[in-house]
Amino acid sequence: MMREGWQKVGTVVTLTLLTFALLLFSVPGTQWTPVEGSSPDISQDIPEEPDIKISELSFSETEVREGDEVIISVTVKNNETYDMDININLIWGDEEFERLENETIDAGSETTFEFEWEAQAGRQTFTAGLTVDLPEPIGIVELDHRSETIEVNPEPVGDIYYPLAILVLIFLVVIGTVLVPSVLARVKNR
Amino acid sequence: MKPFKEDVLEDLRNTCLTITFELKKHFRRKRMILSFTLAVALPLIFYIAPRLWGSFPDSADQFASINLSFVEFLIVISGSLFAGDAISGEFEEKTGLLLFSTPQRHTTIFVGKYIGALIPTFAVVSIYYLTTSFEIIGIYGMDAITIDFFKSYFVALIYTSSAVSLIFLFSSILKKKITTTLLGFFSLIMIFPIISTVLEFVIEVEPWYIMTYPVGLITDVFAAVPLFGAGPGGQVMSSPDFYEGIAVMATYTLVLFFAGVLISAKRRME
Repeated sequence: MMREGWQKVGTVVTLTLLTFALLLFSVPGTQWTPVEGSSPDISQDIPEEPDIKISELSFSETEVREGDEVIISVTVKNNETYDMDININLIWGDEEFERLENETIDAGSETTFEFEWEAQAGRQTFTAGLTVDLPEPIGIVELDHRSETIEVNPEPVGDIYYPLAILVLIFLVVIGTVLVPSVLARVKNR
Repeated sequence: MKPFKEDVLEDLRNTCLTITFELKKHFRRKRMILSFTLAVALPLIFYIAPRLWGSFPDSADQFASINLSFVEFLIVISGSLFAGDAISGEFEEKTGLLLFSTPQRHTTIFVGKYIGALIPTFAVVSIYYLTTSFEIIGIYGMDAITIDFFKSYFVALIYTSSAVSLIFLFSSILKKKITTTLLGFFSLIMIFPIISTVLEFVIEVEPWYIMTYPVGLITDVFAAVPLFGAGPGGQVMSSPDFYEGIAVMATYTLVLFFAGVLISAKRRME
């Protein structure tokens, strides 16, 4: 009787453990997206991806001319209940423009990071990447990224009043030449 | 002695008389009709050809830039036609014997002749720009005529005045009309651009002081179009500075004009 009882207890414990194990592996949201080459795939070991997102990527001006100073704002929202250190990587075209590391975002808050940029003519695309450094062996994990494009008008060449003024000057000087002999004659006579 | 005001007014009247005479002369010799026809026909090529066989550029600035890159040739052709025989014609055909013996001041004659050559050349450039503007409005709409277009027009007029001044100077030095016309034409089309290219690519200095160097500003003012282009041997050609280029053209205009008037005034009929 005693032996049968222990067997039942053992079966229950085994089934319970198996159920826990199954539940653990079937919980959604445990998949991490490690940055390529940064760490081995250990997604099963991570409980849940922190809910931190780039809520906005914007430019201080919409009508931009070449050479204008433009402020690029990246707003990050931390929806978690704990503070988090994040990295922001701003990419201009294909190249890194600026990188901010270990910026703390308070729990539940929204923080805006600003980058100064001297506008260059053409269609310019900026991509803000949000990453977080997790302890080894996970390493850097990308949480979010967002891209925006801005059309920068080329710098105008010259001022219209300058050639106009020069034309008027030429006209006046040419006409004025007609008066020179009369003036010279008066000066001589005096 | 006449009062100063009367004296000046008479000089201005005589200048106007010479200008009118010169314009009538150009009109009678069918130069005006020829140049005006060219000024309408040349930009039309850029409209008709893409309409029939291709497509128009994406932007009005690109269209204007391509179209107006040929206005330089028309300026040189018209300038040579109208200013080529301004002074040398009087000496070659001996008509100066009649003209220079009149009580009219010689300065008023030469200034009148210069303006008489400048007005039709300005008119040719204006017609070219007007035709181009109609094309732009037709293709891209009214808003496509930007301030850059007017800037380009004014730059073209300044270049026109400098080209006319150079040919006017040649006309005051040389004896034959044909020599003046050809020398003026080839100086502006070949000689100066060759010197400019040699300085830029062989000696590697910016030839800002060469008269034809700033002519690129006519199209460079369209900011949407790249300011740099590939030069001979794949080298990058520099673009003239707007303010410096205009100052250079204006200086050439006035210096060559004064030199032309002075040399003409000193010249005597043989």
